[in-house]
Amino acid sequence: MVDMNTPSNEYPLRIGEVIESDTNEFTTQCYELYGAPALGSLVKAGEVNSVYGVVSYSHTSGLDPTRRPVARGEGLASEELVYDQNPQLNRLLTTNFRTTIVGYEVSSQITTYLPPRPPRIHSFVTQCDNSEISTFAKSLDFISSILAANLPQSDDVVAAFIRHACQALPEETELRAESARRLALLLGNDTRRLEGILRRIPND
Amino acid sequence: MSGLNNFSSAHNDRLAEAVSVLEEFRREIFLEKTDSSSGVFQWTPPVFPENPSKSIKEPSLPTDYTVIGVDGSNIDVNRHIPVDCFLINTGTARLRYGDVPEAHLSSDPQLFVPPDQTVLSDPDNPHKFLQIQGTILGAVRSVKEMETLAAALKNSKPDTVEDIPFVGLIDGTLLLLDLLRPGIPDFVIDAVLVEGFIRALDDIKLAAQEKKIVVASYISLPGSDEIIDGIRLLVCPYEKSDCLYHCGEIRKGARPCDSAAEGLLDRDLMSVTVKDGERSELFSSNFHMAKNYYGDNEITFFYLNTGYEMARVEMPSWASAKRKDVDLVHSVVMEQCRKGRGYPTALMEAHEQAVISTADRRYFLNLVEEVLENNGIEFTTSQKDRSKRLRWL
Repeated sequence: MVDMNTPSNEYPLRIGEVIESDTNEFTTQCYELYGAPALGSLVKAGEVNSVYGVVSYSHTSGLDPTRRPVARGEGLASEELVYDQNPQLNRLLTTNFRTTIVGYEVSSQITTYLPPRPPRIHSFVTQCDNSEISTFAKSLDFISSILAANLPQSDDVVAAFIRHACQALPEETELRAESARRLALLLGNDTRRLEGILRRIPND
Repeated sequence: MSGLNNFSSAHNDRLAEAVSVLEEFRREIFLEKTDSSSGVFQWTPPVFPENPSKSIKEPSLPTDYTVIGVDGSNIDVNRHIPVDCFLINTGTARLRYGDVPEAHLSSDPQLFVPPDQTVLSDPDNPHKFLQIQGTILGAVRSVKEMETLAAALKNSKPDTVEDIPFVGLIDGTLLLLDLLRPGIPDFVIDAVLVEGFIRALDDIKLAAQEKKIVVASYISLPGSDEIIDGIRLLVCPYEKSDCLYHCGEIRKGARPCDSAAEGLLDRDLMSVTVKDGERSELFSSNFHMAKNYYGDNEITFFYLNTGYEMARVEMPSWASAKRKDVDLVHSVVMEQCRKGRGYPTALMEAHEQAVISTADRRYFLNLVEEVLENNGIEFTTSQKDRSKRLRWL
């Protein structure tokens, strides 16, 4: 029997599993529809020697690429009702997200550069705790690789990571200022880009 | 083109006459004609309801209910490979609506291998057997579908204190007439129809004594003409409708009953009488061959104007005995067709689970080849099959 249905999640910290992986990034399929972490979140893949990544892109579509979603809500009072009245959608749509690899764990130590190998397919992907976020927020080594990746959303990913880090670590009062200094060094004369990123990180 | 125009005009005239016969239907006359023509009337009209031209409004839909759709597909025996195996894949979609909406989709592929699983043997004479393939495989697949539906209905537990209704839907007819053709040995009918299909229907009937379960099959673009057969009986001008005696020498199209029946299907007639969203009254199929086997499960049916097409919905007689259960099937199937844009969502999703793609078929063949070769059996194939696969220029 091939069962399309996700069993009840006994491991709530798990978001999904790696379904594609290369030196620079890995893609995760979420267990829950729309279960992708926010852009710029820090996640890790693998139960041991975890590989860390920052969420840089997410995408929801039909599991079967030959079946296109069609509009279903005409005449329904709310978007929620579309899903309630078509419960199969939760089984037939899937959310995936890509993460830019920013570091890995070796001998219980986190290093903030690329691992020797990307995570294995089906590695479990989980959200990171504050101490892990703190390690990357303090080093910010990965920012250069995200900015250099030249994704259309690179600046938003960097800004979102710093914003999340500032919220998760309120005790780190210098985090925003330190990040701004680091970005200024990396972006050199490109003040317009620097300004654009800093505008996305509010002061409070 | 003038030929087509003439055809359309004659078709419309016949349809108009059939509609008028249906609207003037009187049950006592029909029963009288059925009695007097028993055994000599060459068509198979169903048992007509009191008012066969009536269109019944769409009943209200319950708030909470579950629909379980089952469909199947198969890979038939391939005579170009060295093993006579086949595969049946059944797909199930269980969709719950209401306060706790949820969906459960699954598929269950089963491989049948020789010597025992690919033939049907006569229990009284092991030398008599029939290879399962083609039409018989189609019937075996219908059995697997019904068994899957029976298991899904039996195993479904209501999640709330309130006993919510379950509607089991299957694609295609419940009447396995292909098995009742002349030449099919009795032991095949026993194994596939009686011990397989009917037993599974009996299982559902048993489960329906403890839970609110109804079962129905849905036929899209039905090609039946049973009601039209009844129209033939009604317009027959002879007191005793002995087709061979009165009309045996008359060509098709010129017989008296052809003026209201020839070339018409039930759905043509029902398209005139049944309004959007509404259903016809319930008819009972009357195939004598089937009656011997179906018992309590004899087939009743109604036509449903889904707004997209005129569909035929069949239910075993025990399931349609209470009007509220027919109402439930009517309202649920209508809502399913709305959600599925013309075809019940549960059946569409069950089909998606069951379907075996061309790539899957190729993979299956490779897998069979690999297993055989690992076991030292050379995978020979015909040159015809080889040339089809290589397709060189």
